[in-house]
Amino acid sequence: MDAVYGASYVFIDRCYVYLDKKGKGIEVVLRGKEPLDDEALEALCGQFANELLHQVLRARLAKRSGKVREMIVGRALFSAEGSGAGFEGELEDDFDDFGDEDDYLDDPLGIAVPWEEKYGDQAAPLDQGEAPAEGEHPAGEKDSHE
Amino acid sequence: MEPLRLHRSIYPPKAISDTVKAFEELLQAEMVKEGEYQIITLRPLGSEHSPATLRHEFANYALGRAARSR
Repeated sequence: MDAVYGASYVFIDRCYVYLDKKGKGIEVVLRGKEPLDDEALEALCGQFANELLHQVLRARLAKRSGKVREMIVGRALFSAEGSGAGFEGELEDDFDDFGDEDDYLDDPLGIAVPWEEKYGDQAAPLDQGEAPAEGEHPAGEKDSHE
Repeated sequence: MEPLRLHRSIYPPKAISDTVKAFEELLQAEMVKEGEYQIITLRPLGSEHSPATLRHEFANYALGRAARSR
């Protein structure tokens, strides 16, 4: 019955859907919102049957993967609460690996130092000045491997 | 207008009453129980929409409500 409801719900903006009980089954009456010829009506019926099949398959898959889905959602909610020992515990272990002298503001490679501060005014980035000669550093420094 | 016959196991009473409320500015509905069916007589309040269109839209809306309540 849920599959019939699901398929009907998809179709109620396209056509008029009327359901009725016929014995143990359900009769589905489809009527176009605009007048439809036989071919269009047949196509509509076919599409409804396809949607019905899709809904049945969807319901079966949902039933089969229900437990897994519940576990994933449960785990996600548990972690989000902040009381879970999973991800948060791992994160705390990572933090413990850092020594007390380590600071996230430390910049041993000088990545955060601006170009001007590092090389002075005469230094120009590649895209603003002339291309440096081969083997020459853009700021006039020699390569360290020479 | 021909009364609408909605099977109560398919169209639950809540879905029907919600639909009546949603359409109250467009039509007046009288409901009578007949066995397993709810017989609904609709009387349009204006002439903006055709009675047949209102009847079909009413049934569609009720079905939508029934489907969503599952």
